[in-house]
Amino acid sequence: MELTLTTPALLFPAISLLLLAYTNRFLALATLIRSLKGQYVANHNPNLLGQIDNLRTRILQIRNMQACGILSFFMCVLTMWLLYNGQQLPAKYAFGASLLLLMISLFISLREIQISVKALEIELSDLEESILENQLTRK
Amino acid sequence: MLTITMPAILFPAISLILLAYTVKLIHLGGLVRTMKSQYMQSHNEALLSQLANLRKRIYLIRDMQALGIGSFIFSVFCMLLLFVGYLEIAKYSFGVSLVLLLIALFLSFREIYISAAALKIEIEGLEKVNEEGR
Repeated sequence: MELTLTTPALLFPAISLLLLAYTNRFLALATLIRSLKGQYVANHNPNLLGQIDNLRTRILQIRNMQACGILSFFMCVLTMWLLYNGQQLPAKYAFGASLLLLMISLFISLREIQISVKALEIELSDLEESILENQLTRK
Repeated sequence: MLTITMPAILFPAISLILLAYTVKLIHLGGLVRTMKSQYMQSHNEALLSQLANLRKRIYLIRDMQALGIGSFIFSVFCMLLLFVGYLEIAKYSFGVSLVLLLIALFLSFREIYISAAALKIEIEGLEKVNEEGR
């Protein structure tokens, strides 16, 4: 299929919005880790350690997602530049690489989402214990 | 007839929707944490049912995100296939992408439908407090 100058430009809004979403996640997780660490230092609750571990894995995954997204963006712009210079074949390779990198980024994102609820689950797990204790003391 | 620009029409839509889902998830996550610490202090039963509601919604949002990302993956894959010239497989890939997006939106509808319930519980608690005050 013939590449035109506007084809790579179709990816621009998608990639930049995706990066914005990643950045949001990243910021939220980073602040959460800081506050959880502060709480852990104060009360040494082992629950917090499990959560921090989960958040740490996810932050690394998000970093990789962002890196792949940025590289995909880079390849996209490179494609445009190559097309502008009239080099069709290298432009095609660059565009293919851009699409592949975007897919890798999305795959990592899918894995990150799969483990994303775990931290909250750990947070609520000791709540369930405390409810049980409550009911026992009532009896 | 699919052209290479067709799947790209979905891109901005899907990424914006993912952004919205992410903001929602972050917000609900924060809410769960504050409610849980409130519950630890006050042991208010109303908070528990709100927490259950929030938890259900967080799971829904997770599924919505997973489906949205899946839809995105398939539409990028479709673009890649069109680019390489596999028209027939590209059509299937685009179809899968649209179906996944539909399921994500349907879950989103359900999530919005139950989202008012948590607020309702909160307000009912307020009414009780009012009555006791009288």
